[in-house]
Amino acid sequence: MPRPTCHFSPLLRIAKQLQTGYFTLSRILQQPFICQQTGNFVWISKMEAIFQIPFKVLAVPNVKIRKPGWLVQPSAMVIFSMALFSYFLVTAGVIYDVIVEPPGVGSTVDDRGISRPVAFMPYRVNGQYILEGLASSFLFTVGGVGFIILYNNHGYSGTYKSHSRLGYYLMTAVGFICVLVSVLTTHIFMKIKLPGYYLHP
Amino acid sequence: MYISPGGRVLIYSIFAGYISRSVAGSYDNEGIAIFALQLTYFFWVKSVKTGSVSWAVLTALSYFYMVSAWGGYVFIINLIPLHVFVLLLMGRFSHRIYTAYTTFFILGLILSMQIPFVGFQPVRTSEHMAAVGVFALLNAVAFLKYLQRFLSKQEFRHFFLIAGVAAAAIVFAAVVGLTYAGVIAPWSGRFYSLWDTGYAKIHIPIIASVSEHQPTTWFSMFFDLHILVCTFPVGIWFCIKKINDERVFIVLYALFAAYFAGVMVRLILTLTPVVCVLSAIAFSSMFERYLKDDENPQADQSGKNDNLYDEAGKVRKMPHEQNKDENSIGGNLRIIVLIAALFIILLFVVHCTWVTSNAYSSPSVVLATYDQNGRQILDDFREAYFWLWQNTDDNARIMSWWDYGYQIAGMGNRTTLVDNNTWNNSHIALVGKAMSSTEPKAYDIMTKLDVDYVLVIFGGLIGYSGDDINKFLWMVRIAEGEHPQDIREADYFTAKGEYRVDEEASQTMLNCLMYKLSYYRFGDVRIGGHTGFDRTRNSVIGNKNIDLTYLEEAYTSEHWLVRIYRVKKPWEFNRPRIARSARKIKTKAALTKKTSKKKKGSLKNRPTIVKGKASRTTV
Repeated sequence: MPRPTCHFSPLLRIAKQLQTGYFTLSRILQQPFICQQTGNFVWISKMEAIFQIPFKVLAVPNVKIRKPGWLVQPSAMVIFSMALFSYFLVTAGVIYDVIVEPPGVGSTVDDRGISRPVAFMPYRVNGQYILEGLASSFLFTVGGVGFIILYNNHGYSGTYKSHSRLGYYLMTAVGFICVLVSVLTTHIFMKIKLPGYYLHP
Repeated sequence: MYISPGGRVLIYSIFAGYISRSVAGSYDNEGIAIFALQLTYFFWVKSVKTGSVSWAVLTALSYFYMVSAWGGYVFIINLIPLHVFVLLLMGRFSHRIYTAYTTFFILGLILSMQIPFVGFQPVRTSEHMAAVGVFALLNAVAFLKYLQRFLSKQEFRHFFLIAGVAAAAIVFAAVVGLTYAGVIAPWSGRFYSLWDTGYAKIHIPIIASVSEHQPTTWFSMFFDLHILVCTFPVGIWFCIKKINDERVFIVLYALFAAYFAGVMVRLILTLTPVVCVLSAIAFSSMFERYLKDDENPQADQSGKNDNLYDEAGKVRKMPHEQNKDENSIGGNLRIIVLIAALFIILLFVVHCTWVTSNAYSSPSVVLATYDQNGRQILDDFREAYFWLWQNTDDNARIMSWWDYGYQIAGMGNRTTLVDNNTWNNSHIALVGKAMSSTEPKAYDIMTKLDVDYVLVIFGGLIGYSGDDINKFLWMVRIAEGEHPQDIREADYFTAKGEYRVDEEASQTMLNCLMYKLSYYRFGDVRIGGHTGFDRTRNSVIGNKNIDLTYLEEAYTSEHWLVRIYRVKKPWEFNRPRIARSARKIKTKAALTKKTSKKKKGSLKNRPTIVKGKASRTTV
């Protein structure tokens, strides 16, 4: 049977510290418990005796509780990826989709009576189909990532440092295209949703 | 990371999402509240940075201002404790945080309780319990940190784990227990619906039906934020990359505000400030990196040359400096990227101006459309309300959906059944039931409610999307909440579960009162080759021959936006035709004139006797 006292050693240490100076608890905790000659704390051993009572009956299992290995503070970029993903969902109007339950794509009947799919719910500012939300939100995210690439690629000296020269141009072009595609395509989407959306005031 | 204050102010001043609340017509107490919110957060960040009591006191004071201005203060009193809690989890406890939070919490608690409307809520409702719990936890952690001085590292870790978990468990159990015991009120439905998004639709449809409380679509996000919707995550990226105590706060604020904005259109308002800040960070870091001159003076020189003489620089390039070549191309690239970024900002400015002038500057009672001939004013609302005022009896009662209650009362000077301040849910549900029932059933309800006129808003002719047919599902839902055996939402959908008005629509939909009143005589109108083409729903209506028995059209405004119907009195109906043989024609003799006064009874055509003459004479 392992010594149970080890489980309480922090408590004992605290009590000792409280005794020896930081708190003058000795007055409260009664002098007679302390054996003056040796400096040992009699009352502590008495307390220990009280604590030991359950262990007269129970055997302490030899268990080690370890912090699980995966439970570490996640890195900054993991947090950011999670944030970006949740932001993607929010701007896609997933909450709208959950509450209102619109169809994935709509359908309309044309002049000849043929039903054909419609990706965007036109004229409706407060309505959307699931796919159009996801598509535009994807573009928002691509635009954001484009900005980050542009920033990250361009070193402080104004030249490439970690990349090869080709890599530098390639990455800049990728970032640039991401931003431009995102901006222009969302404007096209806006025109579909709101035909009166002009770019002049 | 330097944020130019000018840029942020500029973004703020033209920001569409914020303008929606601060233009003259829609100026609301939220306009003040957002300022108070920002001020509180500013002071809070300051006090976390400095750990000084005076900043924390200022935080509490501006929190007091916020509490007196808007119910959204609950956002503050949950976000700041969350910030502290996350800092604790990250192991960033410090005395600055301890000072700031305890000062803010105690002062803010006492101050907020001075507002009569709030009263004892801060100690009695679940919305505020997070702050109390974090306060207890923070003190527990501070005590443990104090004990840490006496213990060795190994012991402390052991002890800290046990004590920390125990403290958290005790706090949690206390809150749950008190809630269960009834000391603390549970989350109110309005806040609960933020977490359980389906809650409002089922339990409080009246709140869910308000257009501001609708969940946000991607379009609303983009409409209000425009390009900042892209740069917002970039700002988060900058903050997360170089994290410190204050940036934890702004990241948390960003994430939660984004979530809340997704749940309710109205809460985009709380998202806008943080979007401004983060986008300002993103843009200024971007510009800083791309505009900054090179550290190497030689390269600096060449970069400047290229900036000044774009094409000419290449021509006059010195052949002996190979290094310059690379830099000059980098410089050109820089300029292209910068121009693109400026172009995007220009788009943003144009967008905000457009949105402000078109969407947020018009009064909602006078509509305007734009076509080739310029602007057209649709003044149908005022026209119809004027008609009501002039042509109906002073005591006439108007039944309409509650949105128009104030307008009818204010402009038409007539009594309404329900209006914008009606708290009686069952009364609203009764109006909803009348609108969603068939005509005879609706007539019963209308007779009971003593209705003289029914007013509906119909946007199908001009393509106005805020009309009653689009709001109709909410009427059905609210009616279903009170009368589940008579009204069922599913009956109003097609077999596929879509809400439509064309031929595929369900029979219940095609025959309900709202449908009939909206589309009465609309089947005769020819637009673009179709008859009865609804421009709002983009479909040809399913029921073109609508007959009204119990109501008659009284007035339809110029663009059909407002339609008013008169409820017929019981003797005015077109009675059903009965075949001649089946009729029972009452003769005059069968009629009785018995009234209470003439109980004796009398004979009609009674022979009168003239005395003194022979009754019969024979000639």
